[in-house]
Amino acid sequence: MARLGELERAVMEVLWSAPESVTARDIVTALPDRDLAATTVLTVLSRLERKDLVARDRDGRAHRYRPTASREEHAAALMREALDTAEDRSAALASFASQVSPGEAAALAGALAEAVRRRTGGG
Amino acid sequence: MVVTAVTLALLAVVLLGPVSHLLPRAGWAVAEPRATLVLWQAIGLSAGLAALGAVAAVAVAPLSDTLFGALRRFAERFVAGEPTGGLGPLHTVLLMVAVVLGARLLGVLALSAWRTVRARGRHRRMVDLIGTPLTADRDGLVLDHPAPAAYCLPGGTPRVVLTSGALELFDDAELAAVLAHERAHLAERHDLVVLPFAAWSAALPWLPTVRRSRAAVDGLVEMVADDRACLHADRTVLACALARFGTAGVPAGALAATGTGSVLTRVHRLLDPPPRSPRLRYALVTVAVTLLALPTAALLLSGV
Repeated sequence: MARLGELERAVMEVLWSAPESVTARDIVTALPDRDLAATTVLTVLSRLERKDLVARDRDGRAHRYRPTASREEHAAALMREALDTAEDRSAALASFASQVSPGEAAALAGALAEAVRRRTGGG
Repeated sequence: MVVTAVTLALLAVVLLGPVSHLLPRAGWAVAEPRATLVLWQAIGLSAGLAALGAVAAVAVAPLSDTLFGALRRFAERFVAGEPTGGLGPLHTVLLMVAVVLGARLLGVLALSAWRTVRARGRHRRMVDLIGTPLTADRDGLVLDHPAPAAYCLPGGTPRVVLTSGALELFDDAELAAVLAHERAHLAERHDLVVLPFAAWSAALPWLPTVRRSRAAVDGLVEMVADDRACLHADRTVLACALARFGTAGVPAGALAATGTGSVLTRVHRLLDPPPRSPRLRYALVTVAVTLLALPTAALLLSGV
């Protein structure tokens, strides 16, 4: 399982860095030091497709694969999910700190100055 | 039995009413967050048991003068093929209310736990896929996102997640303090502490005290994690990190979350730690144990 997860990562890296959609053969070529069989790559691709991370287009006899969203878009979606405090939708336990109101932010800026002063003052 | 029922009902009302209303405002909670957390857990469990016990006591009153004895007699008759246990229609309805209420509380908890585990697993697999390792000597994953965020995913294969925005915000010592805070959550399984409060506040939206208790517990858990992080990190450094984080992440609109356990309170608490009080700690734990003993005693003791 760990190996499959690691392969999924590598394949996604290839897809994200490719300027356009690629074939399974392209992926094998792009990962030369892994010595992959084309069937292995196809397995990984179908797993990624099931997870809605990869889309497939038909191109003659071959299939071309492309990521459904950029890495940044996925990161943004994860952030929304992590910071969503709705009762049981939140996957994360809690963010390091909750968001603060503008009023609280002003007081916090004062506290920050005090904290920095004490830290640098050796107190 | 009347005395038992009235006592239990009173206990539930007092705990869900004034106690849950006043406890979040108690200034001393900041000095002993861990013991206060234990008290909240005892209040939740005791109030639930008392409310269920009160309804059940009235329902089975005709069967015996102790709640335990009456429930046992009911169970015996039920097994012997007498579905109402010899109770009249009104008492049967009341007993069903107690059973349904108890089943609902447990069911909501189980459902919430299952959903959380599922959402967390999905989230973790995505983080593993798109995150990059923090550094060679520090465990953690980095998401490429400008907004500063740091959080943890508890469970069997826990993760600490930071955004690139957070990495830009902190210096090295602050980063270590933030990681220590998140690991404290993981080590103490704070997700399990928070779970019932989150589940029941979602299930009982018409009970504002449950929502208030959830907010209070969330804040206390953060303070406990701050304290544990400070075993490894300097308090002032963690205070800096926290204040920096709070001032950086201000949304343009007023998207402010609930104010309890506020960042400001935590920063002040780190800079000027309130004196710890063993006496207060023992008092809180004693009250917690007593609260749990009360409904248990009511189950066994005979009333008038």
